[in-house]
Amino acid sequence: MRDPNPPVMIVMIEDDDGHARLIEKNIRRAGGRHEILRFATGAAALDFLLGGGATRPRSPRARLILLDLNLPDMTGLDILARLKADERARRLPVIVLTTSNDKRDIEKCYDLGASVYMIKPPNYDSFANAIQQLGLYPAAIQAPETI
Amino acid sequence: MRRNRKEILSISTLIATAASLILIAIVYGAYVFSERSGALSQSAFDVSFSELRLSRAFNILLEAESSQRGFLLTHDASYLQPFLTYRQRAGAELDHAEEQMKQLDMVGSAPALAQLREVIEAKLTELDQTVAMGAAGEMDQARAVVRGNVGRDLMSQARDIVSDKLRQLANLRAERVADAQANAARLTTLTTIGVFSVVLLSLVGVAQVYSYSADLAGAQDKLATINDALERRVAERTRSLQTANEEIQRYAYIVSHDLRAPLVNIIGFAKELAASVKSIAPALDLPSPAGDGPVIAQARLAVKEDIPEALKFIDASTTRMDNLINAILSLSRLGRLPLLPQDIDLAALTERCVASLQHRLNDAGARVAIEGRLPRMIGDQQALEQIIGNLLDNAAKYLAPERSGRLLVRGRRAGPQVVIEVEDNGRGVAPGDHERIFELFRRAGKQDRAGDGIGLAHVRSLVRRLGGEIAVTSDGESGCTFTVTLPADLRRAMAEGYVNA
Repeated sequence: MRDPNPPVMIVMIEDDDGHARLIEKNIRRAGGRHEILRFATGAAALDFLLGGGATRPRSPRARLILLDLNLPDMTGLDILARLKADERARRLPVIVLTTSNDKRDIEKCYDLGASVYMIKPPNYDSFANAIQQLGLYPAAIQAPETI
Repeated sequence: MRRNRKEILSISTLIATAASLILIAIVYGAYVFSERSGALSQSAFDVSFSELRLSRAFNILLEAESSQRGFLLTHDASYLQPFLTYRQRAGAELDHAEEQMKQLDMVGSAPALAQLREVIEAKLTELDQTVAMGAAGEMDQARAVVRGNVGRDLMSQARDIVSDKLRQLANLRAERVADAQANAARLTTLTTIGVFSVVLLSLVGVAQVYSYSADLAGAQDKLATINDALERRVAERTRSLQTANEEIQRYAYIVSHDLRAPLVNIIGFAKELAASVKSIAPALDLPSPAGDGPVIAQARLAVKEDIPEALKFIDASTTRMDNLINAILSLSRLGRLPLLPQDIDLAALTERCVASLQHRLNDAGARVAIEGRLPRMIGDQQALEQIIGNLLDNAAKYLAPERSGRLLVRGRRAGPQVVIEVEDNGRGVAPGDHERIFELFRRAGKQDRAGDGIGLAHVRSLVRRLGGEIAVTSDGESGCTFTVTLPADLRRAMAEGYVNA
């Protein structure tokens, strides 16, 4: 029988170790067995997602991107723009997670094609719900009540 | 050379007053002199008339005498006719002359005239006598009377008196004419002096006006130069202030943004800790193989009381810190708030604010009244609603418990600005706190109301965003008045660069 909650690869672009750990823990607590690949810089993440020239081809496995807007090497908005401009990567759902509740940032993210915008710290219930809504959790899944 | 306004005014007033006084003097002098001139002419005429009368009286006497002589000589009755006529008129003529001379008020003329009358009466008696004799045919007797030289003497007496009087009259006439001439000369002099003075004063006035105009033009030029420099400096200052302001806002934005990142970790891991502790607690309640020793008891105390208490404080503090950071963030965003200048009816806007606060106002037992007519202005509706709404809310929050709350909103136009006042009869703000209450996170007075010290800081940021200023006046007891001064035309203030677009 087919796994109703197949593990997929989630790419997390987050420079803060604590935030990365909290997000991962909450995904795990919600029952996700997904592979979570974290990048602390925008450049490394883009290398992985879009391919860094001939030497490193792009990875086709990523299914969801968690994006922080405040990164040391570039802004999350730039990364979002690059992803959405890419023919193959532009359909990947992107959840923006950031400390900023700036209206203009939020509008820009949605304009660029972000699926969800969440302000840190997110309510982890709605965070899990967002991940589910984005199609990673088929309807049959029963989220373990761990929180 | 710069003259002050007062000096210029006093000199001008002096010239105008002097000119008026001179004109009045000329007019008065002309009146006096012409009155006198009239009197003198009349008097000279009177003298001449007296001379005429006197001469005529004497002439008549002469005529009468020569007629008598002719009659006595020729015994021709035709010579007698003129005598009769003149004889009849002589008395009347003398009366006239006497009357005329009385009017002249000549000193010492009355006795002379009385003597003349006597002489004339005597002469006339002599003439009547001789003529009567002649008519009765006593020619020789009549001629003897004539030859007796009584008549001749009388005649020469009369002549002496008359000529003496005539000389006096001629002198008097000459005197009066000289007086009149002197009078006319004085009038001419006066008029000439007056005209010269007026011309001189006019010239001085014109010179003054010219000099003032030159001064004024110079001052205007200088003012224009100063104005230009000032405007340039104001524009420079405004620009550098705007730059500094933007920098501070960016700084506040970045700082608060970066402060949130560790805060998110503290909040998140405190929650993790709470979850972990929750999972430990049941384990500690399980029967322990080592028994319930002091170690287990301590662990239980830590897990059930100490750690939850610590987490409670962490949670309260992080929540508060989150609020504070959000306040800084929203305040920093106000500086970039996009403004939409539009025609604002302040009265309607205030009523909307009151309506949306009605519940709160009712709870506080506060009544709001708009005093007088609120002016119209061009402003940003949203910002103005927040300003007035916040001020009303603040006033309702800090009412004095011993009296029923009464809030007043009034407004007026003051040149290029609009002044809005929100007055209350609440507990007031102590004089030392009038600046402090507008600072972020600062509060004043009794801390018996919930709040973070954000509201008034928010209001001031909004007011400044609109290019205005806010101040409070209060005696610290009987209420306070918040005064907001804003550009009456935000569109123009933005166009002129005093308010960031």
